Amino acid sequence: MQFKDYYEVLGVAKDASPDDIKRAYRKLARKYHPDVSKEPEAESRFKEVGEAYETLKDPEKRAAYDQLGAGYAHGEEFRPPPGWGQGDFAGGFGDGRTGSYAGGFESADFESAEAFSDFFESLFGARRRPAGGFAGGAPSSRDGEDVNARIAVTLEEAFAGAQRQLALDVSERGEDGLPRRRRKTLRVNIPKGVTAGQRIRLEGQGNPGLGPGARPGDLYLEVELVPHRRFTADRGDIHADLPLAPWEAVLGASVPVTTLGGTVDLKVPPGARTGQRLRLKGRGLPGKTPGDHYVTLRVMTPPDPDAATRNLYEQLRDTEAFDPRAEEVRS
Amino acid sequence: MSLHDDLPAGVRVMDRTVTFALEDVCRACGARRTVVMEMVEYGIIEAAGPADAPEFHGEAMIRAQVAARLMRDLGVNLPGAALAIDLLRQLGRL
Repeated sequence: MQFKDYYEVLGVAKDASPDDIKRAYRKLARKYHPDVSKEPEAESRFKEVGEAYETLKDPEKRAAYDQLGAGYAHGEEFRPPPGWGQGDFAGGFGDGRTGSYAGGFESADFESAEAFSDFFESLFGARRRPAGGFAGGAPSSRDGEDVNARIAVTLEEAFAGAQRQLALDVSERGEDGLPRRRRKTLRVNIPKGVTAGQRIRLEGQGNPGLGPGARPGDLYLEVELVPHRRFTADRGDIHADLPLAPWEAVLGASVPVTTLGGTVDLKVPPGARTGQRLRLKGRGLPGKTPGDHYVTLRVMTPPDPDAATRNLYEQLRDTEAFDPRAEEVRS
Repeated sequence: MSLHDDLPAGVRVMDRTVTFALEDVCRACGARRTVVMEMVEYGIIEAAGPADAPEFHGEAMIRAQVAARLMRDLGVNLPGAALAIDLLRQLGRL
């Protein structure tokens, strides 16, 4: 496993004071919190920052980490010395009430959730949840944690629904009682009509519970829509451009429009202008109230008109009194 | 038949068409009942149904989970979490 330089993670010096460490943690925790951050890799950065704080805020852990980590650089191959893990830190620490991610704030109102990295657990053991927490189970039994993950869905899948194979890592206890990660493969139904940011809950598909009667956690999949080459989605509504020839815009026309559900004919009224929006009701993503499909008109000109076409435009220029800049001149 | 009636058992889209009991929300948030009911008072989530057996729709459950994580991970109090949730909703992130 790779060594993690927790000082580097928090951006503090090796001799940083506890206050400096707390300040750095609070700043980075706000920056990378997965629920608010748009930073890439926010979730993994947040966990790393939490682990770093969990280690460095505790004088005993910090001293142990400093002793173990002397001579190691961030990312370097690391193996704990033989016999490490038999002492004070082996088999877990704390009462587990410190947060959903490593290093959270102490509160008696919440239970803990997420596990630490292998590196952290090799140094200090796994986090323990409070005995008999919310579920009221016996100390030897506890419910599994919920797992949050993202799933990228195409607009076509969101429209029609789909089945997808999903692989994710869940934490569980081995027969030796130590935490371990297991790759789990799931077949997931993407319900039709899902929109960006919506969550799909798969009951009982989170981390396994521990002990008799313990319930497994749930899996929450946050839907991310894959950018589409033609459409954009705003909740259930779909938006797209609709190119028009100048004569279609002037005279009106019935033009084919590609929607997620297939091609439909749209009546463009005479005198249509670039930027105008027309709505195809109920042709967006399905839902209790189906979304609409909006097209924004774009009047295009022939890219390479031949002589006859040019001649027709010249006739228009010489006979048509229309001045598209008349408003600008008046104002 | 509604849109998601054909989903397998245990799979739910967390929208306004599904409802959960207070105990479900408490479990999903890892929070005590008093905290969840305070979230209602601060407008983070809305409750429906009778006062002694309130119900919460799927979007409310997700907001409660986000609020709980913000409180737990960043040390913000309920008014702070409510403000953050409002801003996230304005940004279209919730």
